[in-house]
Amino acid sequence: MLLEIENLVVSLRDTQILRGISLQVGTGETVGLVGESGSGKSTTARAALRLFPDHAQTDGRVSVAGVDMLSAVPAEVRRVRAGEAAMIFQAPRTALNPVRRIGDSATERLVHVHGVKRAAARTKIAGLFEEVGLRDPERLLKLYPHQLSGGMLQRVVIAAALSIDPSLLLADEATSALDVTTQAEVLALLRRLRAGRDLGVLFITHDLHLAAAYCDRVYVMKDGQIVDHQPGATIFEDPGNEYTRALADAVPKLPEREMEVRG
Amino acid sequence: MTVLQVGKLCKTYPGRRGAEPVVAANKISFEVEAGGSLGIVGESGSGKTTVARMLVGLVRPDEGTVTIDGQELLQDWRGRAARLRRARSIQMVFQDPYTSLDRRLTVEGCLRDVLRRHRAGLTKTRCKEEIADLLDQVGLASRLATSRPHELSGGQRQRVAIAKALAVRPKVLVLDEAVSALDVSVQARILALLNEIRAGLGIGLVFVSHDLAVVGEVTDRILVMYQGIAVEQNFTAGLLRRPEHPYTQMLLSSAPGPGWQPERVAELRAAFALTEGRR
Repeated sequence: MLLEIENLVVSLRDTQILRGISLQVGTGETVGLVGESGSGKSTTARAALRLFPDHAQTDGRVSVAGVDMLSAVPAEVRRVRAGEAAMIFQAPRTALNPVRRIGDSATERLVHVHGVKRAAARTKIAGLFEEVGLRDPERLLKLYPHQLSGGMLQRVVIAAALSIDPSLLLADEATSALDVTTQAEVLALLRRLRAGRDLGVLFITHDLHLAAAYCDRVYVMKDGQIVDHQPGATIFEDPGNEYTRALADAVPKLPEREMEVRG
Repeated sequence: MTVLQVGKLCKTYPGRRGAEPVVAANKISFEVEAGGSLGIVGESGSGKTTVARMLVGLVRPDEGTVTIDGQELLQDWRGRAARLRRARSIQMVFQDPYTSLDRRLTVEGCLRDVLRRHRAGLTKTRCKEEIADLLDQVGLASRLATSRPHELSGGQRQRVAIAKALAVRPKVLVLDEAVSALDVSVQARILALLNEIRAGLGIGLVFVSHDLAVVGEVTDRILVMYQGIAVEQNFTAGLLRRPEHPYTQMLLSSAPGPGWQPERVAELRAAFALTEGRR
């Protein structure tokens, strides 16, 4: 297992934010984590990188690619953050420094963490830009974030995350800010990358329909606990769990389209 | 009865640094009945927000008219009187309830501010009653009246924003992605509130969103925009069941659901961009 969380408890003062979470992500697998704001999805994802709120108390086990993150020495934790697991956030516009050129932001990990020479790092990023479907990468490296659309920026952030050749990708609402067509393009890209690189993906979203259609398995979270766990394909066939059903019903649905064949 | 009439709104933004000018709206026309609701949908950059902002006078159109209850609002553009006339007939609720409220003001203070400016002559006690009524209308508990925005949840803030818009008793309410930042269950409750408001107060709604399913919940007509053009306009049920224009068809098949494949959507999108480019 790439990511294994066992009975994870995170508490802040007297409040338990996570109340005994267990989940797994395997190699080449896309696993959905669904829930409303405040349910603890982001806290769970950040736990994989041992990023906890200040003064948080933790209990349980978090293992990434065999490294026990809660007991590992700082150097080992840094190695995982810099090479095994990468995170993509919801808003690419705030994830990138607005006054730095795309090239400098995207090569930061390679240059400053991995000690790769600047020119070599830029060549690698340019290659990754092409892999994620960005045209004219050389020109792109010199632009600023405000000169790109949201969809392009999200591709830049994905390329930067891939630059360290991670085995685990933590996507926290990575496509929620995009419109449906751009979202589909980015998701198709993520799926292609996952297959090509054997990535494990933890896909966090509030959209149960999206998770059901896109993920191999889906965990549903509520109030710091996992309340349902099913294969994505069958979650609507057997929404045995009351909360999952409520979550599914809350999402407005389009009426059935009348299919017609046109010449 | 028609409350809002929009006639051939046009807006072109000059291209930056030698780039082609961007046509954000090309002769956009529609009507909204009192108590009726029109949705404007399209992808990012289709021009839907520009249209919304032109309706309330935040963007000045190159051409076109916005008429509410027979009164044209845009020809007389400058000056306090014209601005007040617009503000009192048409109000807007924005996407982000975290940035659209003044964080120094309590809920009560924020509503009092609007009432003082737009409903001059209200006595102190009338004002208090009015605030209580507004909170009741949008489903906020009266104990929240003394809260400031940071003490409220996203859904509560959006209710405050709606109350603030209703305080001037507008004829038309424009909502630009007003529920997109909210959780699905909160979203459902705000959509129900909007349906209540338009039925109860007879206000016309213009609901702008990229989410067709959400728009389907609160509108009786939908206008689909692509690259500044209204490519299709129809009754909601008809448009969602029998989309005519290839762009609407593509937009409808983009939403995740049974049988949805992101690869297929990306292909359709690319094919559509190509055929459009050739025209």
